[in-house]
Amino acid sequence: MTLTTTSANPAAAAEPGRRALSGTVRQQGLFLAVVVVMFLGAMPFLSQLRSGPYLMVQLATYAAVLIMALGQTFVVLQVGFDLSTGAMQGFVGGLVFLLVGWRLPDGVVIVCCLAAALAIGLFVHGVLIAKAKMNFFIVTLASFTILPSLLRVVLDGSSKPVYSPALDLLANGSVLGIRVPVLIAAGVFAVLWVLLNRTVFGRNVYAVGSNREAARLAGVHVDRVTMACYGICALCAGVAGLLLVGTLGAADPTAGLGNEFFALTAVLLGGTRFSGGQGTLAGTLLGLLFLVVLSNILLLSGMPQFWIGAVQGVVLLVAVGIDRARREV
Amino acid sequence: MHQAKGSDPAVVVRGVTMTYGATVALDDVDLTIRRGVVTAVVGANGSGKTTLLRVVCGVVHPTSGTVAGPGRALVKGLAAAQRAGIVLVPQEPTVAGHLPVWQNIALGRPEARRGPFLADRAARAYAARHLAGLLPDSVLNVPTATLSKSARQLVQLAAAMARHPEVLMLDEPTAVLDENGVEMLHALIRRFVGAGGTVAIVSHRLRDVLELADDVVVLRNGKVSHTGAVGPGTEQHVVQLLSAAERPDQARHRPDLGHVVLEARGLRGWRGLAVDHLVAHSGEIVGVAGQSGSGRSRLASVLAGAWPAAAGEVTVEGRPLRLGDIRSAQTAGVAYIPEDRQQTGILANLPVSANLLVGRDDAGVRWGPFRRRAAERAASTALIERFEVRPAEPERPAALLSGGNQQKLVVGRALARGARLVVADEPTQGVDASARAAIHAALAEAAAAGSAVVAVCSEFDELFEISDRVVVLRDGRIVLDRPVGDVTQDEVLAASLGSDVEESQS
Repeated sequence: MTLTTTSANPAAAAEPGRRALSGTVRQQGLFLAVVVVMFLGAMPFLSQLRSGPYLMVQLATYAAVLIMALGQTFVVLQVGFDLSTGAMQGFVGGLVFLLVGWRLPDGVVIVCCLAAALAIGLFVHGVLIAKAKMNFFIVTLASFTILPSLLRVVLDGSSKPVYSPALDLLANGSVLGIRVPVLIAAGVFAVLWVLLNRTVFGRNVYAVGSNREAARLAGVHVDRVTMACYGICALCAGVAGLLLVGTLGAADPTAGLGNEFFALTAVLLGGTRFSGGQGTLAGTLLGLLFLVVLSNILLLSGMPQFWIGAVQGVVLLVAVGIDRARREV
Repeated sequence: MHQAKGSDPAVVVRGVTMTYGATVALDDVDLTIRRGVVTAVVGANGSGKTTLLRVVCGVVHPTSGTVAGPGRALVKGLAAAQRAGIVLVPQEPTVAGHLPVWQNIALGRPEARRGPFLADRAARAYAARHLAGLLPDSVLNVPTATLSKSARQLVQLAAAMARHPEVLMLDEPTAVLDENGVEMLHALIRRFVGAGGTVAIVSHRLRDVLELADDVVVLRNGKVSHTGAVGPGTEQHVVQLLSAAERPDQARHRPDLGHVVLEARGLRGWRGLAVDHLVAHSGEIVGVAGQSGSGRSRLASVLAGAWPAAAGEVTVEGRPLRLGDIRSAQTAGVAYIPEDRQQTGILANLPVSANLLVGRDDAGVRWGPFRRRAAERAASTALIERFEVRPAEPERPAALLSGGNQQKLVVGRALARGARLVVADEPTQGVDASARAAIHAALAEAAAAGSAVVAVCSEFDELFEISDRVVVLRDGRIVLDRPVGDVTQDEVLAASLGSDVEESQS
């Protein structure tokens, strides 16, 4: 008897929490259902969607964009946007070209590239935005123009072949039938999920995005949180850049450009608010899956490639519009 | 068509129900606001006062029921309400901060344009006419954001009057006003009603509002529990109606003054802050008064480490703080309850539990960089109980709580750390009587437990209710510092205005 009462109490205390939490979970469940229904509905008509290898190629292709979108989620959550992730992705290709040219070992090349990306995010974007209080749009717009320009300087304006066994394995290898980029994306997702949902830092990201001044007065290191988010975002773009070089087998002066907006579309479709403080990594994953499934269905059923951007734009407006309308009811 | 004053209804509310999800904010409310009189709407936190005002002004659509404005025209939506002459002045000043004061007042007025072109000279004159009696003309060209909150609220009031309302709806108009501003407001209301206008006021200052009001409406849990004319016995009657929701007065008992906890020397800083010496002892509540702009909030933010000072020294328990470094202050045991909870207190879209725990990194709820989620749940449930946050749902977004309950979150967050020094800036701004009592009790409890408390209070009733010692600031300087027993309200007012007499220096 006593046992039941004591065990019932904490459960009762946690009950309202569970009920309220289910709002987000329900919304994401609904979104997941939409993606699954779209996929299953199209399956009987499109033979490619029934082919395992085709689907694995698709997953591997979009793994890099997913990683960028996950990093971008941190920046958007704390209020901001990193315009330069696509440029960073391409820029890392140029670094790989340089370092491989110096005959450095693959491990050193990878570490140097990631360190450079992290340093740019943390100490250039992060410091200018958080400490020098410059507008995030201006700071990352500058990187958006500077990084591709440096890349062209390094590559002398044309695409250069790059071969590195490690990068080839990362981008094109398989483990137990699963492509390595997919595994890397899963690993990044797991690490970032723990960081955002189980650490004090993650809670502080939400707090800073919700009300920066209130978070500061409550004792949160708001500047450090902002810097870390830009660091994480740039680091993710660096990982995506390594995958891209490996996939292309070359460093290309226009590589990566445009991916920043594709990734942002996924983030926003996934329910992360541009005004900050609200959103999840799972939502970002779902947002990207939705875009990929949708564009695959359209392309495979014969819609000309040129229309895909228009469809994605309209989908974004409709999804965010529905979200707004639901909130106002 | 227009009948004698008071007989013709200005607003008729019929069967209005308003639900937000499962929460019933208004429950089948019937109400008539008479024309040409002042109606006070009173009630506890979350009783639906603000919702009622928002429904009448067309800001939100009721779930069911109707609202009719002057002349019995149905009010549906903001535009219809404005055509009917119903104008809302919300609790928090919402003005365009970058624009000068005159533009805020003339914004959207036909007087401010000539065809498609601007008529700035006329607009400015128009604004000056409506600002007269509230603020000096000299502020007309000042960017509105640079004014104090009290002054911004007066600008908002002038902007409302500039719309030539028939019915003026005021939501907690005195919450952010200082004593001067309150007088201006009352004078304005009397002028407006004298000229045939209708006013509805939501307020927690029962005595003030009943002094002005002809009618009173008492709301409880979304229902009208009393309406009627204000008479001699009304105040007592209303208090009885509300008191069921209130807590009994906590006995005020604190140990004798202990050692010095806070000592500030030679503080110099923004806007002429010049505090030479201020101390607060263990177990003592020091009330800081002053007109708005006197530096009282600046002093609080400097003591809490939220703002830097140009010079000076602050020690807590003998440990010097790094001025302007809030982490250093918190490590030394300073808790800060900032003014203006919307701007600097509440994480609106985060749940109650996150609001209570943000910034905490003690071992109770943390394990290295990781969160201890079971401990977090237990801690937030305990804080919700201790500060009586309602509804008691840890996962409810803070934005959906009433103002008083939001303030309890800010207070609970600060006091949960067991601080040595509590710096509270207007801790009960815009909260109702029961939340106010709960917050006062929490401050008294902190003092009884040996903390020193420095509380900025612009309301004299509150100042004298909670303080052991009163400090008055004027132009950044301490002009009065005495135990509460040796000072009267008139002396505090006189010292803060610098109007007369012997200034007993600290």
